[in-house]
Amino acid sequence: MLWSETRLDVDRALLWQGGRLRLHLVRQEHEWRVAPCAEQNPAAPGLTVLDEYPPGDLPWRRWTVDRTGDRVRFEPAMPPRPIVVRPDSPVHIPPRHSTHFLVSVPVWVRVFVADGPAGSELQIADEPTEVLSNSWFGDPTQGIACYALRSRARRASSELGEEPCRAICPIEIVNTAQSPLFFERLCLQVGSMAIYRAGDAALWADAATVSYRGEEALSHVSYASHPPPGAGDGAPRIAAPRNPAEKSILDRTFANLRTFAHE
Amino acid sequence: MNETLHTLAVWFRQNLPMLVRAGILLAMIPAVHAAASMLARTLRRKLSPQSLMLATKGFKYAGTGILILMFLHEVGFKLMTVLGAAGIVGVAVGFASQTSLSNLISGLFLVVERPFEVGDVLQVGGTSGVVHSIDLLSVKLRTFDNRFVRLPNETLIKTEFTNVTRFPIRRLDIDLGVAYKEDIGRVMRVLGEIADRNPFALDEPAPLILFKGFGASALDILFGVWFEKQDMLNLRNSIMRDIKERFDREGIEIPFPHRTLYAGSDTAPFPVRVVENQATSARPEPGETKKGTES
Repeated sequence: MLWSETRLDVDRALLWQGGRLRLHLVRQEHEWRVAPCAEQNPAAPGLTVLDEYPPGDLPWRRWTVDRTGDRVRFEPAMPPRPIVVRPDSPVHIPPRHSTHFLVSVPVWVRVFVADGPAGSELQIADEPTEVLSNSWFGDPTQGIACYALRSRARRASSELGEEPCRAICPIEIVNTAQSPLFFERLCLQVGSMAIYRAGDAALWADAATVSYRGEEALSHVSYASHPPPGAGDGAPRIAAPRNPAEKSILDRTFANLRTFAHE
Repeated sequence: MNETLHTLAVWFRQNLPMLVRAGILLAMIPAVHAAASMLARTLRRKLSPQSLMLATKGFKYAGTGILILMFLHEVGFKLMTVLGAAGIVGVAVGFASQTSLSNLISGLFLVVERPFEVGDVLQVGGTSGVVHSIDLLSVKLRTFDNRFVRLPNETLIKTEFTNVTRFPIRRLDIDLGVAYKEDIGRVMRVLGEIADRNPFALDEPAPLILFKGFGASALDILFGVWFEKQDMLNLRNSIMRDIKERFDREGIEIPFPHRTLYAGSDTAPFPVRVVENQATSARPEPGETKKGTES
């Protein structure tokens, strides 16, 4: 199981693979070593305890502690920046109508290790399972740094597929304005979403509802705090939101593409 | 001697309360400086470096000035007389130090206008560096090779300068040339893919790929890639390498400057042939004069 807790003896190493990330972890008596490596091609997801020590030339990060514990936990997390979402092609949403989309977002992996006998944990890694391209939402003079998604927003989960290192985010867009909404791209604060596990492999995130209130007004965005319908009612929550305080916000969410004049 | 000591002791006894108060006021000057440091620590997360510096210096100078005035008043100076004299002296000094005054006033304009802040990267003439401090008379820059540059405020008011990091995103413009034989549409598509795959290149605003014209040796293209200002070095290093590797893989030629000798539309180009042996034998030995060149 990719998102689980495991035990690791002293002077042993393990390899975690998911998405395009290979992450080596070594436990010593007084030190944890972790080495994340981004790969060009996706690797078969899995967690393997290695018989031999990994190579020394990996990009190791070291954590020295009084005494290492034997528990290691891998937890998914939504990206630390908002995501710019685009549909396959621009969509018009008339006033008082709504529409649903699904987006598949690559998750980050957080590694927690036991920190002493009291059961407390120490986070030693927070790495993307897929390196996302940077993007910008807003004017060049003021805006917010985002990640761009290569996959587009879809209408059905069957079009997205289930992958162990991607979370499916349901988005409902409601046009409460008097004018039609031309939806070309949308900035989604995925840091406010928790993650749920559905079945063995699929990850789902909190559903977001975006209420469009006109071109000049800020959109109202709210995030549900329960498993989305696609994940099933009993889907366990396996990760809390990165920014738990922002469950309902007013935000500049929609933007149409603009051209920037060549100087 | 004894009489002098006695007079001093009497004066000391009579003025002891005043001396104590004056001493306390002087002792409070280091306390004001310490309070300014505490203020800086408290406001560090709430204010920008520029505002923090202004607030701290303002507090320190105002506090010190007030304490000095109180001290002078305590020890018997007539403050109005002192201030009046200071005004007259100020006018005299002002005439004598017009440059300093100009810098001082320019500094006030810079503080009000705020064209840059502490921590911004400035380009002034041939100098680039990070703004280290903005003071009453000058702005101090720390260049990227760690030199200290002092720019008088008056110079900054008068001359054009560029604040490189004012806005959160920037565009890196790369001038490229490809051989005349290349398919320009394919080259532009490949450049788009290079920007798309580089994680430091912003997906939006979209990269600018502009066919600029027909150069002397190449088809000139402008490739402008947007990036977050802190990713400047990462982007520049990675995208240049990406362009070279991808062009090599695609067989797209980046020509070096060359010149074709051509005698006109009716003639064929000059045939040029280099023959190693003949070239060697034709070379005259040192001291030997070539036939046909003797006069």
